[in-house]
Amino acid sequence: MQNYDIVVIGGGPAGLAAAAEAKRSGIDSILILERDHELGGILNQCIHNGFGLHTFKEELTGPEYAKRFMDQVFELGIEYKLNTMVIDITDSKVVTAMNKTDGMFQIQAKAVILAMGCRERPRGALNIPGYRPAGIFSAGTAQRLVNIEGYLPGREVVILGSGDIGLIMARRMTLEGAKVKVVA
Amino acid sequence: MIYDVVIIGAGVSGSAIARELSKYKLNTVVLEKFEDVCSGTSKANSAIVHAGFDAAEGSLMAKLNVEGNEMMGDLAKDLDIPFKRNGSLVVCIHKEELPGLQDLYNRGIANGVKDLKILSKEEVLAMEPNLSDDVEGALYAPTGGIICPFMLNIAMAENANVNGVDFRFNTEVEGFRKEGDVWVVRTNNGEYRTRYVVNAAGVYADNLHNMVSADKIHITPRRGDYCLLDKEMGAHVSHTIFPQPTKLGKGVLVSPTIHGNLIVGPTAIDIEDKEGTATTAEGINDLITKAGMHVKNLPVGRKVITSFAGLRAHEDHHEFIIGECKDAPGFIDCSGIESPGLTSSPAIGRMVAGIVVDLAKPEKKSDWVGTRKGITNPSTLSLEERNALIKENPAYGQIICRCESISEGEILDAIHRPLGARSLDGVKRRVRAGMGRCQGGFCSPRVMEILHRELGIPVEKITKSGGESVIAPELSKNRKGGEE
Ligand SMILES: Cc1cc2nc3c(=O)[nH]c(=O)nc-3n(C[C@H](O)[C@H](O)[C@H](O)COP(=O)(O)OP(=O)(O)OC[C@H]3O[C@@H](n4cnc5c(N)ncnc54)[C@H](O)[C@@H]3O)c2cc1C
Repeated sequence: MQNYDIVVIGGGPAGLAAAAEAKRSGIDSILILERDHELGGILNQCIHNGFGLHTFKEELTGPEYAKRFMDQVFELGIEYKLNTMVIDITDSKVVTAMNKTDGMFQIQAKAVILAMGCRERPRGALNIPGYRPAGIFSAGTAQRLVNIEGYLPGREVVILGSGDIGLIMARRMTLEGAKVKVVA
Repeated sequence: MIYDVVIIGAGVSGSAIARELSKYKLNTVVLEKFEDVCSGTSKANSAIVHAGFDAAEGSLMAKLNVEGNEMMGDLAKDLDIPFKRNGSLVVCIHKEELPGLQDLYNRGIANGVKDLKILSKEEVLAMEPNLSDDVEGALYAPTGGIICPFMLNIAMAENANVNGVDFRFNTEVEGFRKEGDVWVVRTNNGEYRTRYVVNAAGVYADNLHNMVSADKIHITPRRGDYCLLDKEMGAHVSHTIFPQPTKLGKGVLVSPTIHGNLIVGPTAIDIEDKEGTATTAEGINDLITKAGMHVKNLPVGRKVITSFAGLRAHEDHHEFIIGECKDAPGFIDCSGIESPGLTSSPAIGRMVAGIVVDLAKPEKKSDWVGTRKGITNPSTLSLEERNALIKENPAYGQIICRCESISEGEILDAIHRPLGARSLDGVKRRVRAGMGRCQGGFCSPRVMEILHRELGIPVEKITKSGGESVIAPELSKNRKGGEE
């Protein structure tokens, strides 16, 4: 079993920033575990701007903002593993993870930082009744399809939820040439 | 060519019949209007292997239920699918209804159900601490079980296919004609000539039957809505908890599923539309209220991850109709297969195949293989075994569905095995990618990518469940190269 002082779970801005700060505070043995094939977390698909006003006093897009933290991690030489999924953490801080090359492995950590971001609650969790056809997406899934995968989920769109996320998606879909019929 | 047997419908009934017939030297084809097996009622039900005390004494339903229940253990082993006898409890919450438990017990004994027992309040609360404080007693049926309804259906079909039965999907039967002794089955995909037709068309079985017989039958789609709860709630009860049954059926149950979720449902609402699987707010509210009467501390509203509905093929006489049509020789009905149809399916398969075999008198095959190796589930393996698997095939090291921890290796297996998956739902039903807490939010773009890569289907054509159900019908502007 490998040993690390800190295992950071999640390579989004929170995990990257936490790892960088720990390193600057004098801890050398740090490992970041990220399940995606790149660092940056959800911000990689948030290609609109408006990030970084507080921290960097600049308007950055999501990927640009994430890149700032990636650069810190690269400069500080912090270890990370991509495509690596953590599947268990024990009370004694043994982290079990897996990927294609290392297989399933365990790490004894002195501290574990949880920075896995969050999971969207699907339509079912809100108990919205009706049929279950194709074409109903959470904002994040639709955003990923458009911004990362490069596919349009449809030409006629209804958006349920008019918070900033709903509006960001309304703008994005409109820019893609879709007709946003309602934001409710 | 002239087939020996055309089976209409690739639900559990059609698939069980196909598997039984695959033991014989018969040319058999299964015609299914959807893109995959397990696309009708068999994909949306309680997934309980009923003990058999419900059905009326002396009915075919009772007989096939008890037989099917008995066969399920060996079948699940042979087909390598998950099945557990977790035991069922019919719970009484009104003292004056206690005699009802005795009636059920007596019926169960008459039906041949083994090991039934009536439990006192104390006994049942000791087994299930989360039952309502109002509980007065219960009927305990240790032979009741839970199963994966998808894998039961899929595995029987796969096994039939491996043993030579053809499956034609997206093929809807539209009519019949007789040319001498030969049935000509008309579909949207051409005609099929056959000596025998088996009608296992679920809620549509009456339509097909009525095309060939003057002795009409009538099936009402009886909708059942469900809520599926997060795995956090999976241990809330360990047995399947039923209320006492009423005329409309077995009532709203609360049960762990074989995969560790908690299922609550179904309602029983008679409708007209044979595709009317939309849940309604009233339906869901109704089942939440009813479930709460027998099981306490049930946070359905907060812990639900999805709701869905299935349609029971309720025949007016509430009985399975199995047999050769009197006025249509060679046309064999397997209709009215409402609950306990899933439980009964192994016995239904045997019975219907028996009828065909009596008529066709085929020879038995000597090389029939009744077993199947299931899709490897790495979460059941030890660390060492899992590492060996990843070493052999690194795809098992790449997790695609985070909620259910499903690896790429499992998804590849789901796609490439016999009668493999071709849609998101096809993958989901075979390996559960997309069946967890986020309901496919994370993994569906990745599963689409894998389907695209493995099957050569353009991403824009990949569907949720066949037909028109494409997920992302166009390239984004960026990908189109900015021609707009
Ligand atoms: C709410 C609910 C709860 C249930 N709970 C349980 C339970 O806990 N335990 C239990 O044992 N049973 C249960 N059942 C019953 C069980 O689900 C069914 O009895 C069983 O799935 C029926 O299988 P089937 O193959 O007959 O029908 P289906 O699965 O509906 O299959 C019929 C197939 O025929 C196809 N088809 C129809 N018409 C045509 C056509 N013209 N051409 C080509 N194909 C056609 C359909 O597309 C479909 O795939 C429940 C049912 C419901 C609705």
